[in-house]
Amino acid sequence: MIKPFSARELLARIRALLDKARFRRVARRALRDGERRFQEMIDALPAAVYLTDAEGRLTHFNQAAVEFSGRVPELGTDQWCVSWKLYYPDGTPMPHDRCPMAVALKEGRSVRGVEAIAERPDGKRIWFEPFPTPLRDSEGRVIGGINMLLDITDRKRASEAQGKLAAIVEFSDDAIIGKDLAGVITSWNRGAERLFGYTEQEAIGRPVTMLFPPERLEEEPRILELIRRGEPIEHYETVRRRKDGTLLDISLTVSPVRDERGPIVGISKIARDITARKRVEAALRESEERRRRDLERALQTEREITETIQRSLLPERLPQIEGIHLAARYIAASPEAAVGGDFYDVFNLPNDHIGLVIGDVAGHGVQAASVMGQVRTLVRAYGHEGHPPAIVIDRVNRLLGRGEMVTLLYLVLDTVSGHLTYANAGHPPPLVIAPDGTARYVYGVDPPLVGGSHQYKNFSTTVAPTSTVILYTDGLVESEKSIDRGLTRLAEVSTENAAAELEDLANAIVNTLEEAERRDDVALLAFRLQPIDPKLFRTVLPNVPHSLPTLRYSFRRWLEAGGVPEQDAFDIVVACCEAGTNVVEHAYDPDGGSFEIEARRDRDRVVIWIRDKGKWRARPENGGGHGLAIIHQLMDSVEVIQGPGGTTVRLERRLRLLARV
Amino acid sequence: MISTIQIRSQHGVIVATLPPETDLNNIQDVRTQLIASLHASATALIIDLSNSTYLDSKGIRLLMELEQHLQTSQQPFRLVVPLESHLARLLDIAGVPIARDESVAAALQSILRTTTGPPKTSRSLP
Repeated sequence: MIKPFSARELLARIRALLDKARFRRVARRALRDGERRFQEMIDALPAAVYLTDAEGRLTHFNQAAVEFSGRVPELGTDQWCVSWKLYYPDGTPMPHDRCPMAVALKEGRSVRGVEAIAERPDGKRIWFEPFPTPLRDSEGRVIGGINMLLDITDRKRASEAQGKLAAIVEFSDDAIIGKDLAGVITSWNRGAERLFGYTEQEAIGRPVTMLFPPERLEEEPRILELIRRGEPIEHYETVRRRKDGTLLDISLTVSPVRDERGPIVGISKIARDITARKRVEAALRESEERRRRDLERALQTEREITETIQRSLLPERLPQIEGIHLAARYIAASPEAAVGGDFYDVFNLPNDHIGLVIGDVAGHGVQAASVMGQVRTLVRAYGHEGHPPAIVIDRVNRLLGRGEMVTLLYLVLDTVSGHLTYANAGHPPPLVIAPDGTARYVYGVDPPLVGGSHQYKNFSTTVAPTSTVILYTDGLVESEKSIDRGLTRLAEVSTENAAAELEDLANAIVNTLEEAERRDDVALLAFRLQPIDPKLFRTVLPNVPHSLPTLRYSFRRWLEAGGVPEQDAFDIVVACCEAGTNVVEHAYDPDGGSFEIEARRDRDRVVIWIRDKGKWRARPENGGGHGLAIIHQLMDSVEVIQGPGGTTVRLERRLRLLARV
Repeated sequence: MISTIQIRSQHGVIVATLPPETDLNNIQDVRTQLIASLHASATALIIDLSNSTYLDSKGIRLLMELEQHLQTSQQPFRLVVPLESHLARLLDIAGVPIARDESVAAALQSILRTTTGPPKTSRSLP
């Protein structure tokens, strides 16, 4: 930057030379040389400089003045200034004859410390500071002027931006904190004061970590590290501590502060209080979570209740009945789905009959499961009373609550003759598969149970030995696009697997169900009549009281099938069951274990072996004594063989009435 | 198996019908219900076995116990069992010493004939 006084010095010397030149040609020549050299010096200056005569008319300008004004000024025409248009700092237009150079020439003084704005023809505005100085002759008359225009646009813009920024920072609701690279607070706005409770005086010069809760102190080195690498941190949610110790949830934006040359010289932090937002978020999350938990718990509880009811209602294991194979499957629609009201049941009836039940209560959940429980109990109770299926179903219907709907199929099978009596309340038809694989649905159906009264009908058919009967709920056949197709598929699969073991047949049927197709629960109950070998009876039963009726029915059925007269059969069954009672009652292992009954028929003689793993005891003072006494009365021979692995009771009976015949 | 026994009172006589089958499965329930039915004002007990097809040694023992008890309290006790039934034969084999009738009506008649005959006098103890 050129100093105006050095120019003046120069001019003074020039003036001195000028005075002398009046008198001397040498001096005149020297002046011309000096003027030329003076102009050359001006031209070499980097700042805009121009000269005028006493009226302000342009006599000379340098290249920098061309660049400054954005135009090529006209010598002798342009007056007062090289600039195209001028404005006062407040933006109002400034006439050229009032510009600082005009003032300097008119008033004969140098003008300093003013600023103005020049507009170039291309519209660009330039803040500048002029340094106008009048030039005088040796008598002190103003003969012209020199002006230098210093471009201060960048400085102006910077300070303007700084002012705006300061205002923004000062009045921001956010806490804006400056810190140096060592983490010492260098600036602290009112937002920071409000948010953290420290005044500017308290905060500046202290480490920013005074705002950190102890467990968050390790965040600071990480923040500094990121900033040093030039990575800004945006909306980082963390916790800070107020002066009073309370904790604040804040969202932090941290950015590096660079000087104009680029290196990072500090760090600016903007902290926003998000405690309220956090609190709302947390409350929302918590209430949602609680709602979800409650709902889940409620659903879980209901599912557990329902499953418990259902499990307790479905037979724990199917009864073992000599000559009948039974298989059952229960498949829930999906683990998430509510438990359905599908059920099945098998129970012994007097005189070698068994009752088979399959049903489907409309709806799901606890309600359906409890209705299913009632229906199952009622069918058992009425069935045990010996009523034919139609009567049983009618009675169940009368006791059913209004609004419930149940499909129910109840069959009574004579295990000796294969005669099947059934009544069907709206349930899909049973499928009978003959030994040769021929499948036929057994139709004959009445409306579902809806409460009230309906005249249900008994239907009957006969099932040949080795035939299989399949009972199922609609979930098995409805998964196909139409029920007819489902029924066709079931018949096809059953025919293909007619020769398979009953368990395998059940698996094959269930496996035809695609996982995705299971929209409903599926219950399946299948039974197959086995031919009876009249020479050999063998069964293994668990050590539980319920094995006793099972033994009675199956054993009687075997005896009858072999043509053993009724009275002999009764006595043998009673003796055998007394022995069984003793085993069950004095079971070696009360939680488990089983006993085996084997019987052989040899013309007019029946020999029975009852084997268990316990120690057979006969105590005369209780029922065991009576039992043993009765066995001795009924049998021709009773042997109790104690072995290392358990006890075998061998009973033998001569068929008296047969012998008499 | 059915555990419920039907109990009714006719002319002060308790008539209890046992379920079709009595064995280890239901003997406790049957015992409890029978004993509960024997209130002090009952003049006599009839156990109806005409619907029963099976009675095991536990059931037979229960009948014997009741017989002993009722004999002490001088309350007549009769069984209803069809004479030619398997059950009747079983009771014979087991040596059950309880008077039997073919029907509840016959049993009632037998009891009423005894109790409405000569004024009831206490049996002399041996």
